[in-house]
Amino acid sequence: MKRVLREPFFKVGVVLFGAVSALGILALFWLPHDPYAFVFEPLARPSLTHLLGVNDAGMDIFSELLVAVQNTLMFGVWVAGISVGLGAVVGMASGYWGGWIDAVLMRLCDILIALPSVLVLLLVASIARPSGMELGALLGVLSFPIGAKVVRFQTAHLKETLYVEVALQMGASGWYVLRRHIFPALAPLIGFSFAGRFRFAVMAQATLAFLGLLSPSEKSFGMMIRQGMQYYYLDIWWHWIFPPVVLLGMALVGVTFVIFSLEGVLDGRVKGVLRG
Amino acid sequence: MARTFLSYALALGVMAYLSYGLPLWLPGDFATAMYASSDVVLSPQEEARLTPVPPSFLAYVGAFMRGDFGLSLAYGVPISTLLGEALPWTLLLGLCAYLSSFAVAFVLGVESAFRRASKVDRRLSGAMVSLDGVPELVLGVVFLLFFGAHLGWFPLQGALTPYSDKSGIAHVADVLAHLCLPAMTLFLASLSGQFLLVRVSVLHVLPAPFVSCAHLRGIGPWRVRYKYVALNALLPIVVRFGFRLASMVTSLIVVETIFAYPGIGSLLMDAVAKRDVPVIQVVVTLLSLGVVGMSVLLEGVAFWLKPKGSLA
Repeated sequence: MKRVLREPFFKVGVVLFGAVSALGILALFWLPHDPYAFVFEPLARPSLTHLLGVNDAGMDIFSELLVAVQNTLMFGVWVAGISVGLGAVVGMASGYWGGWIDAVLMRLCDILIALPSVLVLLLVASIARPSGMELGALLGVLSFPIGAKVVRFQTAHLKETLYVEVALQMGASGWYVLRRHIFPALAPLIGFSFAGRFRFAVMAQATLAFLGLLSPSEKSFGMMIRQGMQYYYLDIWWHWIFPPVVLLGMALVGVTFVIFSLEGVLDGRVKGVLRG
Repeated sequence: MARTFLSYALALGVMAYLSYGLPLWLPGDFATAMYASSDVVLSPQEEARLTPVPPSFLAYVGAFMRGDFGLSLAYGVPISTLLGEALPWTLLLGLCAYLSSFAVAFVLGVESAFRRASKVDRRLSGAMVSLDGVPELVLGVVFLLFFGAHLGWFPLQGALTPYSDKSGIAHVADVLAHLCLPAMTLFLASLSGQFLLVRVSVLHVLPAPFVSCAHLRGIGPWRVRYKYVALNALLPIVVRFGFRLASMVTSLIVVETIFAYPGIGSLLMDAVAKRDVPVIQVVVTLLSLGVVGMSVLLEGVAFWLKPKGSLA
């Protein structure tokens, strides 16, 4: 852990990501205007009342941005939680019990890995128009198998260790061993893959929203960039398009730095495996 | 090996069935989307005439296999015509950007790995890690605004200057000028991932005894790097590369949308906006076919690369 904290990449990453998150936390307590109210003068320039001006529909851009930060973080945690949670449960079950459970679960994972998940998402989003959270759940389910495979491998390896054998000899149940011995040993790996999935989810949300596949009422960076880009020939880029672009970049670069510094410490074991 | 192919075949089946079934299971269609905001009231008979009777799944797949993609609802022209117009642009953009990014990433990755922990390696890797955090959406928008709109160096959108009848060199120059920004965006967006992948894979091969042995035998550094080490690092590169294919297609769609480049991605997003379901079905299925086909091909290459000596 100490080695991670000394990494310059880790520090910069935490600062970048922390700065973005701070805006999201700020929005919990304070918003300058109602981000959903379209009551202001459309395309107004930035001023003291509207720090980043007003968009074409008459919404305060700064308030929109704060809510977009919140939505992005929530979406990331939601998708990563589902993906990593499923991956951990399936991987541990598969690796620990083996046999037909392993065979069935791993074949399912193989099919899901072979499925081009973003295209599934595109298809579902364009035809069914689900809400952002529903789409996130689908993304989580589609993306769990790679994590599950890594967890399975590690679990099967841990099962052979002496301390697990001793615990089993002393009459510990499978559940107890998984909870008490295997899960804690996997925790760093799971935390690491959570960061990877989070990054993937934030990118996916920005992409889908930019392509117009998420509901326009759900504020997000991608959505704001999409709306601003319709007016790029006006002199609005610096207060309308750039803020979401910069915050999205900052959040993603921040998480990427954290992931790479963790990768350096955890080393070869997980290198590159969890990035999809 | 057979099992891998089976999962790909099943995945393709799932994809085809989803593309077939999703539009049928859901309410709303082209006719309702088209007339939703107008005062036209359709009688059930009129609506039935606008909404084609869905074929069975087998007929759907059969028609697809014959290359009979049907008509676009929005344009009333065969989908194959639309594909024929869009595909060359996508191929031009995708091949230019991705082939150059593989080549550059491969050479940089190998060279950087051989100079591991040196100043060059640290800086290059640091820069690539930073670049890896920047998605093509951010890069594309910044390029469009800065090089296109602000500096005016490149055209802002499309693949050709509209209504111009340039020919010969002027035509080629026009195509290249339009290609520059989207290709640059895609190139940079995929470069970092490829670079880091190559570098890590080479780093794993370097400690092998045959590398020091090759050095000791006095084999030149270039031969050692590319013939001995890089070739042996190729297997993990090919395997991991397969995982990236789907995201490469997504990047292509995003970049085409940003620059309104008239390729497959723009065709797809235009169809989504118009709820032109047949076009969505065909394009998504074709893209999946492309991704799965490439994955199978890569699996084949990986199998071929795998050492199969009598000692193994």
